[in-house]
Amino acid sequence: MSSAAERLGGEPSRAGASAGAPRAGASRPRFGSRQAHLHTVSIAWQLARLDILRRYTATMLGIVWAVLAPLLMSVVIGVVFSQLFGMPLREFLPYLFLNLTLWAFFAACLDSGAIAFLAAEGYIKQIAKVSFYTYPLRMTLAAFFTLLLGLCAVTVVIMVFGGRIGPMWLLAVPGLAAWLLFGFAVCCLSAVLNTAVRDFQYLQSVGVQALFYATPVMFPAALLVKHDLAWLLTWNPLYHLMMIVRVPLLYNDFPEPSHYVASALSLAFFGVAAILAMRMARPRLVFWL
Amino acid sequence: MVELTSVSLTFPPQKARSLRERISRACGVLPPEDGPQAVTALRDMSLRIERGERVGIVGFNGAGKTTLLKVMCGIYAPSSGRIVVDGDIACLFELATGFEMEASGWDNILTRGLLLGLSRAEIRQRMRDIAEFTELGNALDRPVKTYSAGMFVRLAFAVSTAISPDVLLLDEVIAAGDARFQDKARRRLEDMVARASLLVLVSHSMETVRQMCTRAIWLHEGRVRLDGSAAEVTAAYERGA
Repeated sequence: MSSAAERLGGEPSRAGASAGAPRAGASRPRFGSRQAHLHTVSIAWQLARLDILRRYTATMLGIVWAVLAPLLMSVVIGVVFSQLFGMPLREFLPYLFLNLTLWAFFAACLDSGAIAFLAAEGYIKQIAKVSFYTYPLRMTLAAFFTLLLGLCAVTVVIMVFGGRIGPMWLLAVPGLAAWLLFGFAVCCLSAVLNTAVRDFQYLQSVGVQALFYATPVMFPAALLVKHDLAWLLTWNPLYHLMMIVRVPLLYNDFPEPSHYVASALSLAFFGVAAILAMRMARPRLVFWL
Repeated sequence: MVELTSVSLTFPPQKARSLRERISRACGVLPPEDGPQAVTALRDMSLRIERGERVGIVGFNGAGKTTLLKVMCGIYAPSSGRIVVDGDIACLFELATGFEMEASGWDNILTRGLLLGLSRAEIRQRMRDIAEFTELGNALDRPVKTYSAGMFVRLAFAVSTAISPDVLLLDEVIAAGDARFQDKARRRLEDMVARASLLVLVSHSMETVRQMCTRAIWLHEGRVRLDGSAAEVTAAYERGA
């Protein structure tokens, strides 16, 4: 492959803007410009909006169901596990519900990422010049919407069990922004891997399940430390990402700076991996579909 | 202006797309792969199309006509060579794919418009015109999964022709709906062509190429066989075909 073709990738370059008279039609933003990025977000949001509408209007309970299902699950698991761990339910239930809500977002990014390109095959093969980031972003935004809904319910549960909303809650905002970026990165990776290797999905679900049990979602993190498994926490990006949301919301406190550092490093790592994977996939993707 | 320099495109062979199959082959459980060879669709193609030109691409099935369009507009990345396109480019292919099935006709107009590069404001502006052109009326409120094949094409055609690219790549004459609609569609397409400053049209109809094009290129097995005026090339093609 010549270096020129490599540079061009899937996007024929546009040497200079059209010099002709002002056009009545679409003046498309130049590829790579800020405007082009905003347009990508705009397309992704439109597609995500349709996904969200479809998800929540398809069932009778609609949006209520999305919040009710994890809540019911938390109650059942909470009652059993709070006994097992000897933790009072009023402490354990908000902890569990928040963790499960965050985990559900992570799992949704991976699962829907797997079909992000496959579901867009009709667009990818037919319409030129749409950034491939659009399709994983669409999936991430839809999952993030569900996460925000879930957090509303989490807030109610926290208050019911005697928690209070304090100024520290604002610290959850950068935490959630980190989750959004992290979710987008893993969604891109899942999209590329699953399109290139069609049965990667099976391996992925096993991996996600293993990670679920290694991450303090259903049990207190202290349990791992007690059993000399602290390294499982240190090296788990999800643990640190959970802490920067959980500590402000549940304990009205500052998360340890180390959690921010670890979250930032994880974001950088997965972000770079996602960019490299997308760049590698760009000229090949259409042939994989 | 569109310029191709030594562009080649080889479709990667359809290798095993699954881990299970790859591992089985590696362990000898399945025989080693002797699948189909890679297909070369374009071979070392160089050509330059200037502003103002109307170029028809002719050739037999499998000559690489559609592939050439897809390479020009960036859907396929070339295996080697270089492509430079000056100006906004858009392409129109078979129009019956790429819908959000559960969403309404309106939402599909918005989605496709955004994908084609229109802003939300531009789509709002053209929404009425697009809706009117589809003649779908109240059906636009329904999820498109309830549409017939003809209705899909109308919807996609109406949005896809609402843009004004500098460089327009058209594949075949798009058969849209019944005879009356086809007539209307042809006029709309001609309008769009008139707005574009450069047209590349793939067609099997020499009549269409003579009518719409100034220059024609005859592709054969991924190479340019003849490049000249539309009259000259279509005549040669008809003699040869």
